[in-house]
Amino acid sequence: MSQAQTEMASKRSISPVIMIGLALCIIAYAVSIFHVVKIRMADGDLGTENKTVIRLVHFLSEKNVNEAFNKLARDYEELHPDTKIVIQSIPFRAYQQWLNTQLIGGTTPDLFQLKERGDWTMASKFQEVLTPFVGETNPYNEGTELMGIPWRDTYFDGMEGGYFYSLLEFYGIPMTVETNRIFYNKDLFRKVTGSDAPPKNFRDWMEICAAIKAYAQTEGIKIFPIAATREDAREKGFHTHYMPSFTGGMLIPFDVNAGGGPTSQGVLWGLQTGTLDLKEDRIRAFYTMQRELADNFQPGFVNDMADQARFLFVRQRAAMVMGKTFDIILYNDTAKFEVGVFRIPIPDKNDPKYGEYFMGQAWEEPITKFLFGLSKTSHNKDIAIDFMKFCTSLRNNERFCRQLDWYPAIRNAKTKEELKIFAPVDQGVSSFLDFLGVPDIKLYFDQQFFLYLGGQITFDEYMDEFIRLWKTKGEKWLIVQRDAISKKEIIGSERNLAGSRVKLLFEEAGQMHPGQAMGTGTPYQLGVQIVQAFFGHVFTYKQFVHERIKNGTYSFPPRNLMPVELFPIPPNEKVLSIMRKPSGDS
Amino acid sequence: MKQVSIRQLRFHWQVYMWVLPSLALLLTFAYFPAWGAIYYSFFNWDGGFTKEFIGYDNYRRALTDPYVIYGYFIVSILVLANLFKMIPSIAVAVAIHRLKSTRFGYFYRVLFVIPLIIPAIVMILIWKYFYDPNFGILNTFLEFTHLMDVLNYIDGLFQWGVFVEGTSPAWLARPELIIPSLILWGFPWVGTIGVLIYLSGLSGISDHIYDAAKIDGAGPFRTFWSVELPLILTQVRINLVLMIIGTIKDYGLVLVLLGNTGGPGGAGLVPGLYMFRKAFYDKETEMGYACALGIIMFIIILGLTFLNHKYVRIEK
Repeated sequence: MSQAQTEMASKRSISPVIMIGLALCIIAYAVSIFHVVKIRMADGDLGTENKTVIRLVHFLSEKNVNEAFNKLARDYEELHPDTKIVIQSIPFRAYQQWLNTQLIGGTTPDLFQLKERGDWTMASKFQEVLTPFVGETNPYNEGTELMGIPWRDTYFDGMEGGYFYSLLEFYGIPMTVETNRIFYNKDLFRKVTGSDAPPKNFRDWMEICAAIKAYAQTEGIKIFPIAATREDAREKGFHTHYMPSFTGGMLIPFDVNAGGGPTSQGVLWGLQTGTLDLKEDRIRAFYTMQRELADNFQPGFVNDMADQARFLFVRQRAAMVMGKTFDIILYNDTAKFEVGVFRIPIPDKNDPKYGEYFMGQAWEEPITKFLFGLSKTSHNKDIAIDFMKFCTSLRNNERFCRQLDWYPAIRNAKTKEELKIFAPVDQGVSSFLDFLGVPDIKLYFDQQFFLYLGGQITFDEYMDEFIRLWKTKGEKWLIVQRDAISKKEIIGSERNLAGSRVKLLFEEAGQMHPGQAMGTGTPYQLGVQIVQAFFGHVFTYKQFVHERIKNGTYSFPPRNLMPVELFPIPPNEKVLSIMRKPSGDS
Repeated sequence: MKQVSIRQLRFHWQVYMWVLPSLALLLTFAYFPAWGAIYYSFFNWDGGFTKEFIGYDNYRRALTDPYVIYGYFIVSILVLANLFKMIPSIAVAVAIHRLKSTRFGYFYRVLFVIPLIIPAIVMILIWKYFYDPNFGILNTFLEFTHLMDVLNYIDGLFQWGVFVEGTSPAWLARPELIIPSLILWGFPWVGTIGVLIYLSGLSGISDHIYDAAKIDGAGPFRTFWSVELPLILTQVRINLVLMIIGTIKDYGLVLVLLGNTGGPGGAGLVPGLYMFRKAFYDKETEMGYACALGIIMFIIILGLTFLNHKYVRIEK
C-alpha cells in the first residue's frame, strides 16, 4: 500500500473520540426510549408493577401541596393495592405549554388541573363529561353525615365551580374555595396603632391607613398602607367588591329581560328612557369611596402586578395587601412578621360619607375552585373518578385543606379557627348593573378610571363621557350584537341563558324569542331546565335578598322598587333523571 | 426569459415535488392567515359564532376611531424619536470599527452579540423596575443627583403638577410621563442588532479609502461624515426600514410596561396594542375589527417602506 493510500485510509477511519461520542449518543437515545416506553406502559395500563397507574398533575409549586396530595395518594393505595397514584407538579409558567403538548400527543395525565373555569374549547375537545358521575353518591362518605348524598350535593355550592355553563355539563372537580381577603402586618399594626386588631368597618380602616401614613412620615421611611395592583382596583377587585353594596338594588327596575343578573341592555334601556341616572348620589358615593381607598395604595400601583404587591408586603413596605386564600401559605412561609387576615371592611350605617347609601355586605359567590378535569384519553376513568371521590370525601377534603391551610369545599368539613375568615359571605347583596359590558366602554373605564382614582379628572368629567359613550357606542354595539345573534343559532352563553330564565319562571313567556332554538322541548331548553334545577339555590338566595329589600332592611329609595316575585325552583325529578343518565345514552 | 416547457416540467417533476412541502407550509402559515385577516375584516365577527358581513364598515369605523387616530399620533412621535435614537448605534459602531486593537474590536463585537440571547421581555421588565416610583433606579438617581429638585422647580414654573416635592413621580402611571418614558426606554439606545449591521457595513470599507482620506487631510469627524456615513447608508436604510416597521407594529413593550390599556388615560395605546385588545381581550372580542386594524397597519407599513425605498437614495 502506498503512503498516499495509507493516508487516505487513515482519513477515512473514524477516530476513537468520534466513536465514543457516537456510543454515548446511542446510549442516551436508548435510555430515553426506554424511559418513554416505561411511562407510556405505566400510563393506565398494567405496568411493570402490575398496578393500574393514575396520574394527577397540578401547577402549584409549593412543596406542601405535593405532600398533601401524596398523602392522599398513599392512603388511597392502601385501600386499593392494585392502584398506583402518581402526583406530578408542573411549574405554572410552563403548565399550559406542557399540557398542550400532552393533549395533542394523547399522553394527557388522567387528572389534570384546569387553569380556567369554563374553558369550553378545552373541555369539549379533551375532557370527559363528568355529569353522569356527579349524580352518584360518594362511597368514601360512608359513616358520615354526607352518606348517601349525591357527590355534587356534598359540595357547599352544589359543585357549581365545576359546571361549565356554555356546555351545560360538569367538567371540573373542585377541591377548595377562593375568596379575596386583606392580609396585614400585625407587628406594624401594633407599632402604629397600639393594637393588632383588624378594622371594624371602612371608616376604622381608613383611620388606620391615615395612622400608617403619618407613622411613615414621622419616621422618614417608605411604608404604604395598602399594596395594591392594577387588578385590585379594577372590576375584579375592590370595584366589584363594593359595587353591589352601593348599586345592587338598581338591578331590579332595569332587569329588562328578567334574567336576575347584570346586563348591558338594562343600563342602556335605563339611560335611553331617562330612568337611570349614572350621576345619582349612590353611584357618586361609590366612586368617592373608590378614590378614598386608592389614596392609600402605593404610588404607581396601576402598573404593579400581584408579585410586586406581595413583594412590598413581605418586605414590610406595605402594611396590608389584598390576597386570595392560597396566599396564606406564601405569607406564612416568607413573611418575617405575624400575619393577620380580615374581610374587606364595609361602611356601617353610621358612616358619615357612605352610610346612607350602603345597602349591605356584598355577597361573595361561593364558587369552589382548584378544579381537576378528567382526560378523555384516560384508560381508567372510573378509577380516576374514584380517586377524586376519595380526595373530596368529607374526611379527606377536611384533612387535605387543613394540611394546606385552605378552606374546604365540602359541606360540614371542619376547618381551623383562623381559616374561618376565608368562608365566603353567602348572604348579602349580589346583583348590580353591568356598566362595563360594551368593549369601547370597558376600554374607556380601563383607561380613565385610574385617572379618576389619581385625582386627575373629576367624577363629573369621568361620568359625562361615560354616559355619552353608552348612548352612542353602547347603543350601536348592542344593536349590532342583537342583529348578529338573532340571525344565527343562539349562543350558549350565560348571558343568553339569563334571557331565557323567564320562561322557567313564567310559563306564559314561552314565546319570547320566536324562531330560535329555544322553544319547549328543544335540547337547549332542556339544558336551561337542568341549569335551573341545579342552581335553584341561587334563586333561593336572590329571593332572600329581595325579601330583605321588600322588608325595608336595605335602605335604598323605594321609588326604584318593583313588585318582582322570584321563587326558588324545586329540583325537577324528570330533569334530574335525564341528567343522571350516562353520557351517550340519549 | 427562458420558458419552461411542459415536457421539461415532466422531466424535472421530482425537483418541483421537493419544493412543494415548503410551499405548502408557506401558504398554510403565512398566506392563509393573511388572507383570513383580509376576509374577516369585512365581517362583524367575535371570533366565535357571531359573524355577519358588514362590508367596509370596519374600515370606515377605524378611520374615524379616536383610539386609532391617537394611536398613530403616538406612533409617529415614537418613530421620530427612534430616528434620533439610531444615532448612538452608528457612533458606537464607528468607534468599535476604528479600534486599533483587533482583539478589542472582536471583544466588543462579542459583547454586542451576547445580549441577543437575552429575551427581550427580560430587558423590558428590567426597565419596568427602573421606572418603579418607589424603589426604581431612575427616581433614586434623580434624587441622588438632585435633578429631582430641578424637575420640581421646572414643574413649579409651568404648573404641570407632575413633579411635586415630597412625592416620587410615577413614570408609568401619569399620562404626561408615559410618552417620555417610552422614548427614554433603552437609554443610551445602542441597539445590538443595529450596531452589528453598521459594523458589517463599515468592515466593507477598503483601507485605501481611509488612506486617501488621510492624505486629503480629513480628520476623524470629516472621515465619518464624508467616507463612513455615505458608505454605510445601505445599512442605515435597512435599520430605518426595520425601525419603522418595528415601531408601528410593536406593542409588546407597551403591553409589559403599561398593561393592555396603554396606561392611565390610554396615553400609550399604540395601534398594535389596540388591535390586540380588540382581538383577544375586550369583554366581547371584535375580531373582525381587529383584522381591519391589522390590514390598515399593513398598508401603512407597506406605504412607508415604499416611500423609504423611493426617496432615501443611496449613491455610491
